Amino acid sequence: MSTASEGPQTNVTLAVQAADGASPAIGSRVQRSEESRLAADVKALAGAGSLPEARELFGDIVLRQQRRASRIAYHFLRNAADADEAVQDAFVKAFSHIDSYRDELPFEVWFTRILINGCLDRQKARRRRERWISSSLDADVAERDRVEAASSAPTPEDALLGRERYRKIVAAIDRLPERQRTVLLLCHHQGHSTREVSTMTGLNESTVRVHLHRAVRKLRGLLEECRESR
Amino acid sequence: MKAAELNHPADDRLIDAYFAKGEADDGTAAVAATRRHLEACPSCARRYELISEPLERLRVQETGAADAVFTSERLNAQREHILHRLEAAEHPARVIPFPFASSGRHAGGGARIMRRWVAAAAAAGLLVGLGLGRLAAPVGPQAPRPSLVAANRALQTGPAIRPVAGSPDSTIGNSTGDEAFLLALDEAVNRRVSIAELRAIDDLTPHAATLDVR
Repeated sequence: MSTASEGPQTNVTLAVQAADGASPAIGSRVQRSEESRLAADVKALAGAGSLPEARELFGDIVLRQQRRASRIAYHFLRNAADADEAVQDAFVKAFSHIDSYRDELPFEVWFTRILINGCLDRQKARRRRERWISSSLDADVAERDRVEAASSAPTPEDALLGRERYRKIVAAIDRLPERQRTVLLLCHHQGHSTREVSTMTGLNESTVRVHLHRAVRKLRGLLEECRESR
Repeated sequence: MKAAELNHPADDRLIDAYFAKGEADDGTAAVAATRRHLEACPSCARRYELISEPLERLRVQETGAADAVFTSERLNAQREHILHRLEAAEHPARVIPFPFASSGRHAGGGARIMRRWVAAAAAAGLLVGLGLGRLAAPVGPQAPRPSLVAANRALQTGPAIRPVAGSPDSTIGNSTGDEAFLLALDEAVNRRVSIAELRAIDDLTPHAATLDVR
């Protein structure tokens, strides 16, 4: 009895979270709830064979989710073109596998899992490529993206020093072990709770917390240095 | 303030408190205790700030960096691409065969398989034939066939070896019979067969004596 009610209870908690508060993270949860509803409709339409209607409705989900997805993919891959492709692939995959989407799970969590797996696959492919082929081209593109991004930082007064410090921190994040990096990006950059990240990554919630602590501890020196020199 | 809350929380507790800030239920009881402690302890509040402020700044920077790359135009283009790919997936492209290869590729698919089977069967037959050939006619010194033929004939035409009645041979068993047979064989082989047409063949083929020497 209690086992059967665990799943729905989790969803109720998420739904309550979605209806609560006004922080950006919680605001995104309200959006997620709406996307879950849309995803359920898309699934029903696709199941009934109304693919054009399903596709059109899925377009609304894309509109709502693509910025968040692009941020995640960019933080993972640090390359705009790769991130763009990864996001496209993830949406196409989500639509083509919409029949396996479980209505009780937030769409955002399900979709993020697809996206992360795609990004990790791309990272592995890139590492293989770099092992055998010159990586200068990729490095150039990544560097250009990075400089472009850093140059448009909100505070122009610390442009030069800030850019250098930011680059150091980004490099340090990129050097983190895969799991620590994934957990940090999702918990910190995207504002997901450890429970949500646990669902997305398939890791135990306490393991997520351990990876998060380790990642922050590794970055703390750089982050404090960044703060002091501000 | 309770005594437990006077214990300064470790850095991991402060990190937990930072990452639990967006959760509606304020995280676990430990996080709630840490928060209460932070409200009452300026030094720990300062420590918390040292952790949270750079992390928050990093988050803003990272978000800004990604948003600077993925502009609204780029996101619109991305959405168009996604919808186009979804539409294309519904109508998979038809593969048109190359004109010259079409007949061989489609109509001749069975014939190509048949040709492969024939080739495989021919190769297998060749191998079996070679193997059997080696077994039937071993390479190297050959047996003195004409001599054996002659011996056989001698056995058939020559005088039969009959044990004399009352002699010990008549009472000897099979072992002496075999010995006698071999003796008769030797005699037949060594005896010159006076058949002119066989002699020519006999001269051309190697003799047992020659083989022994080799």
